[in-house]
Amino acid sequence: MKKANINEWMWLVVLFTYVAYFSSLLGNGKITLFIHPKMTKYIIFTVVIFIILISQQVKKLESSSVKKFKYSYLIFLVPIILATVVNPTTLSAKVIANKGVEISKQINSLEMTIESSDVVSSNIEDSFTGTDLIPTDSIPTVAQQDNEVQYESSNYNTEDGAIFLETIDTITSNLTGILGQETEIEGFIYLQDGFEENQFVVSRYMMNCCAADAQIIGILCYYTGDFEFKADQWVKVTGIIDKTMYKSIDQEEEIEMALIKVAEIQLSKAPEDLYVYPY
Amino acid sequence: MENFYEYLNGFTIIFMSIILEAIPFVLIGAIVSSLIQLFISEKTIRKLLPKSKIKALVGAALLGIIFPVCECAIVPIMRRLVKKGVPLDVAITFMLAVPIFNPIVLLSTYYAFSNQPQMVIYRGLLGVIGAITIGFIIGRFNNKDVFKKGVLAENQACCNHDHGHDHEHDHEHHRSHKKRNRFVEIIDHTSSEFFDVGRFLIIGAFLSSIMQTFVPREMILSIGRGQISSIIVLMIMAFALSLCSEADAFIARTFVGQFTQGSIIGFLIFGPMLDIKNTIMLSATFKTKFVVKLAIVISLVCFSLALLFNIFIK
Repeated sequence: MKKANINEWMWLVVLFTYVAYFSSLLGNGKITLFIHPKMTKYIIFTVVIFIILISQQVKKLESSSVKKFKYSYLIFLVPIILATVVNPTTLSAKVIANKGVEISKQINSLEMTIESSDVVSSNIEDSFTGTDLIPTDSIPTVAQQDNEVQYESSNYNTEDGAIFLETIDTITSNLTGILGQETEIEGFIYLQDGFEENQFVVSRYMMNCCAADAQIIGILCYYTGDFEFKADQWVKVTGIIDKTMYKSIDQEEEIEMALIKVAEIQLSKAPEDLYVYPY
Repeated sequence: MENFYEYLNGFTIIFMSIILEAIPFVLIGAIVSSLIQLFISEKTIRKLLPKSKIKALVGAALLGIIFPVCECAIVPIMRRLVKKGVPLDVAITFMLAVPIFNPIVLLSTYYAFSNQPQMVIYRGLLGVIGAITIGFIIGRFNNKDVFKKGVLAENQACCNHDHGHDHEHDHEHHRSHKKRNRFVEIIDHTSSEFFDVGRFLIIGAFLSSIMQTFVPREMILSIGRGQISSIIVLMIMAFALSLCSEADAFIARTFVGQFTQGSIIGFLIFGPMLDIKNTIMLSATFKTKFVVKLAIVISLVCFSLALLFNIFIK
């Protein structure tokens, strides 16, 4: 009887484990927690190819070999074991915020012109395209921007995800035009260090191709009423669109940002799909 | 304690997502590599290669336009090309340029920077220039012994296994070359190539996830925003985050207005060339000494391009 070739067996186990795990992710829909729906076809492709690899691998099991066991096979098993044991269900805002938070500003700062001697430092000047500077006292003037759609919602969004993106987009692309209008938006509470007591961001997670590039996207809100702001709590806010000057940790000086003066805030539930997909 | 679970949770999601994102492409790279192994001979490569070095480098840098490959898939393909006789410097240029200069990445850059479409041109152009420069510099070195043991083993048409899966050959294979046996060979090569590169992908993904989960962005960003410090900061970010070149433009966008444009471009060209994930994957192919040398050259060239941009264009 030929001795079983442990290396070939290990590789078979690895391939099989991946097929099983990927298939289960596809089957129970959990795969969208990790990657953009448009990428699922690649995982299906991978499963198919792995099955083909397995079909060949079984023929090698009986081959004799004097090679040492390769520990590298175990490396392949680490992510599957980790994911199965930890069984993650939702994102952590703290971790995702590490990559960057997009809070609705008036416009992309690259086009913003500032006429104010205090504010401009040489670095910032580098980033601005010089357009017409309208000299006023020290009020930052904002260049007219064509109402370009920044966050065109893609087909992969759920209905309320699409509504969220469109709301953010309307506010972002034409803040001056819609000041004073009423709006409502639903998302989770994100609190950043340095926020005042009644400030919070209503946000969602935005994904471009996988969770590793996900960002938080949201809009600054302000509520003077009685409410306990807990991070990650899902809420629906209704209020008037306004603007404010705000300086976050990331930035060197204050910039103009959209703000919702919240009139009413309600608790709500996290939706099935955590993400919004701009593309 | 709750904090720990939150971090573990976040880490696992990011780790798994990088793997789910990258594995299909490493697999595709392994398949393409096997196809090259079987169907394209050294003779063909020699014929296709331009005689002049400059033409070869430029050609390699532009190939991505018709042959879009991401930075994960490119490693097994680049290895195979070198084994087939493509000179090291041309292969390096190819490996560095293709993940930047391809329609998918340029398109996603366009979406991310939709109100500054010139960023696409800057990224594409400087990516190509950078890759050619780096390849050229590498070519000047004495590259006698850069490959890991066993990577450049004999290059016969069939049943060649440089590593791992030993098995008994039925020597009838050599003589008949039936279609089915070709298929079997493709499978075998794909399997072993995928094993070889895949394990480094997992290690790289693990390390990148640690960086993403535990290193606070503010800490890195606080290093500075000046002409020079901004470039260093964003290059460190690009290295640490190890983002796919299809998605990194969207993260780069968050730096707009706070960092110099040159540093953002540095982020966009350095990231696809060198980050934790693909540095580890390079170790599947090259000896550590060479990987270090390559990393230094890539860093210096990208830094210089970003600096020149800051000085002359903005």
